[in-house]
Amino acid sequence: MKLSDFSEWFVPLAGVATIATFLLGSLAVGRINETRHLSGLDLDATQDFAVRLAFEPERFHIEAFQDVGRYQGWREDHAVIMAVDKGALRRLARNYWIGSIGPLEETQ
Amino acid sequence: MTDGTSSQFRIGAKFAPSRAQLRGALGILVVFVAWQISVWVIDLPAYFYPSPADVASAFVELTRKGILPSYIADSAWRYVAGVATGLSLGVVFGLLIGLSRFWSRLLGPIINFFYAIVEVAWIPLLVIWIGYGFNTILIAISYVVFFPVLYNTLTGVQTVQKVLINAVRTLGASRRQVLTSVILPSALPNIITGFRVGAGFAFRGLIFAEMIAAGSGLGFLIFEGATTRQTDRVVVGMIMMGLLWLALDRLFLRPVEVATIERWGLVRAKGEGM
Repeated sequence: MKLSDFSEWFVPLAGVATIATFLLGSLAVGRINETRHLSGLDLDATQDFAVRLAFEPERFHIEAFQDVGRYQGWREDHAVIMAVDKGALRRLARNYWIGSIGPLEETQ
Repeated sequence: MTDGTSSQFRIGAKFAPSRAQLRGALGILVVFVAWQISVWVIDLPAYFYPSPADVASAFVELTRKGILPSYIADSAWRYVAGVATGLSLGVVFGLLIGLSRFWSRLLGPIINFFYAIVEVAWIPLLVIWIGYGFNTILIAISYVVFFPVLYNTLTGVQTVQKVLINAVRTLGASRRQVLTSVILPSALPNIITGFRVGAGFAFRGLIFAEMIAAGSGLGFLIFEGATTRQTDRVVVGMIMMGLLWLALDRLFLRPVEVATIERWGLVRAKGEGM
């Protein structure tokens, strides 16, 4: 058997490799975003957070906020989320569409 | 040195767009230009008949807000899981029915009966039983893939030449060896054909299931866009569906077909004359 016998498999394998690279890249970007958004925050000190976005949230974003804690509504440029789950907040922070995350007191 | 250069050229030639591909790209460009001109000529409200510019703007907005990548990922995961489940079940049941007269008599009429019931009819019932979300969509897609794979596997198993089975039996092969060395390899082209057909049906099934039973995904994007009169988003969803199918077909389904059933001479390759 020669290597050329498997040349037909090049395109599917390249496709799988591209998808795998993309997924790994997305994971890496997610980790970077998480560190960036949560740096300097003491997640044990408070359970209430303000999540800033560059746009008004849609159903998709509100559902994401509801997964994190008690979503209290949208105020000007930030969403108020109370009693957050730390793990869920970390997952939310990985999203590139999040502007910034801060304790609720500072934004009031 | 010469060899390296020539192979470089060969690789370059392999990835250079062919005349047919250029014509295809030109066709798409013509459609977009005609669409834009028709928008100027007809002059209807954007919510009724969005222009390519509106659609491009909706695409950028959906991507910036993180909605489109998330929906594409959801749809892709549901599709892969559904096709894998349907394929596995289809092959197992196809072998079971094809190899055993008892199972064939027991399951044959039931499977024939369910074959006539399209997945669309199941979705409302599944929503009541399981609720909205992943499991309902998974079952709907698996159901769509199951039947083409099952019937093709069955055909493959039933058309294995008896002489081959007898030949390996005379050499002392066990039932398991007959299955793995003769029946499965002989049925493989049919299984791949069933997979190819099922994968196409599954894509349609996915979009429809997401329209009814999901809160995310491309089907949901289209449905939500229609209910909120954001037709530009509907068109974005439609274009993404087309692009995803093209990618899936060109990157995976077509090469698998070329590497297997076309290579084994079971179907005629493109360009081969009658």
